[in-house]
Amino acid sequence: MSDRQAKHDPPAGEMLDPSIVAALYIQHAEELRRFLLGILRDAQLTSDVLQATFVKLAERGQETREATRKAWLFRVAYHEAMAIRRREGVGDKILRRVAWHTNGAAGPAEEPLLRLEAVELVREALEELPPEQRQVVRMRIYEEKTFAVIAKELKIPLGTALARMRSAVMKLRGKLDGRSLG
Amino acid sequence: MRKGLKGLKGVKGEKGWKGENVNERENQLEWTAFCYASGELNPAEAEQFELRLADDQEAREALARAVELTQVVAAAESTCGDLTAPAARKQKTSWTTRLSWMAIGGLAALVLAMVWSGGLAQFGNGPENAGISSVNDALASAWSATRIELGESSDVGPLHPLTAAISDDDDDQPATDELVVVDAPAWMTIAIEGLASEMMDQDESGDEPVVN
Repeated sequence: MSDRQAKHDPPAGEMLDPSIVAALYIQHAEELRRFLLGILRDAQLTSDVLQATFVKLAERGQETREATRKAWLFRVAYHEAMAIRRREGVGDKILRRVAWHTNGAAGPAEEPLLRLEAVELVREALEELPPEQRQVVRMRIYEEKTFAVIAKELKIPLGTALARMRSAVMKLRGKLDGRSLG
Repeated sequence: MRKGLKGLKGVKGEKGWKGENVNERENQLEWTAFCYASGELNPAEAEQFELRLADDQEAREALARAVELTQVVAAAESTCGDLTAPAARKQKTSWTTRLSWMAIGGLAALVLAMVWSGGLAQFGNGPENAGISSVNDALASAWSATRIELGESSDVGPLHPLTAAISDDDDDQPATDELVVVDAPAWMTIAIEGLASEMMDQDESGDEPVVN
């Protein structure tokens, strides 16, 4: 939690109903967690900022309008994340890749939550990709090679590697977007 | 210094959008977000995208989607044919969704009931800390119970875990076991304490507490 937040006293007046805070957490926490992981590249920092964001919601949520609460949560999370990056000196690490799969240093408890359904969908979609696109996807995401390295190893222009990846990403994205979220 | 992805249509992103249709623009944003999440943007491009994140909710959600996609693809590639999902997971029924929302509603009702009766009574009769502790304990139990119930249903979305399930060792373990939360999260404790405090103030001033 930030110093700024620690010093901040809850404003006088009515606080947001806890059940609303809980519902907002259930609704948006995972999306927020992914957003924060994209900025912070660190599961522990992400959890800290997520927690701080909802603490802020509990303290100041009554100042927000219902229609804009999701955007408010993302905005608060963004500013908390950028403040932590400045304070923790992780800004210089921003260009580093995240260890997306479970071989990373973070334990299972720190891993972002994924859904089996989504993995199954994407696995099917991966099998439907043209082999040359599947290869680039695997090298980029699973083997964590840069596009420059991929292009070199496959002896193709960088633009071709990127075009294959972009095409694959759009297809996979479409598959994920088409899933039933219940 | 990283070279970034200069010169490649769609990576720089923000220029040349006039005349492009909405789909192209959305695809452009998705791709830029993916490149950012992958660390493929050079510092200037990354900074530009981060500035956009400050104000643009679409960009923020695109980044969340990009991270999700990358994680899911990594998980799918890592299992590479070994992932055997229990058949029951595929047979999603609407009653599980209803059950989940009933659990959420139950939690909300329980929280209000605790504030109204037990927690508030202790605030009135004993030291403040005892009241807060009581509320916290009950809240923690309620929160844990809700998480367990939510985890047992297969289509409730964000609370459903995969990380344990994709490990070979855990194939026969319920994926939710590791997610049982013992303590209520801090934000929820703060919310409930704040509400209890408000109600206590109202009680002391002689006003009737208002429960939504």
